Amino acid sequence: VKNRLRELRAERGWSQAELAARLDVSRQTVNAIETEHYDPSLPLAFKLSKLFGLPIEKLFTPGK
Amino acid sequence: MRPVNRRYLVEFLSAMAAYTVVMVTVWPWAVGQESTGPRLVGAIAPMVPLLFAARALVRRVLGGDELEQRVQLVAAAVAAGVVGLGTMTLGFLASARVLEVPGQAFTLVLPALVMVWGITLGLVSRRYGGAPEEP
Repeated sequence: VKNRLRELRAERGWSQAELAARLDVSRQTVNAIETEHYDPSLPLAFKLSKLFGLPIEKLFTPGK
Repeated sequence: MRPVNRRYLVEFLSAMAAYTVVMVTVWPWAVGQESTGPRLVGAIAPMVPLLFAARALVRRVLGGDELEQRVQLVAAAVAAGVVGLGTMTLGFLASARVLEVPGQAFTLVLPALVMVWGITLGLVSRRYGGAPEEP
């Protein structure tokens, strides 16, 4: 699954640590999602959607 | 450092400090006793701080986020598999009298488990991208 997390985070000027704190996850988890090594669970995806004010499909798109 | 990690460090290091104290004070006294009772109490005594260390580890894993729990689960499964198969092999070798395994070897199972767990944690973390960018 591809995502726009890094781009959206950069737009808001947040560091990985700041985003991690807002989501109550570790910085490693934010990094793993951004680098597409890990696909978040639905609850975490909804949290991201709420945080960025975008529907999930605008954050995540199917990969190959 | 996340609060869950800070709490783990405090709890785990306190437990290991208590373990060291027990091993330096109670253990030498216990093994020198003639009767079984004090030796039994002394032999079980190190397990009390180790139980607190295990409790700290469980709280750390349960307090982690979804990726941390996944990484810990994979590492724990690999450690259980490697150490389980290794000790089973040693058991068969000892039963067949190919190898002599002293009873004290049981005390090496937990350190071996923790060591393999730690190594696997590092390897699995790398699979998920390794260390994050600096803040």
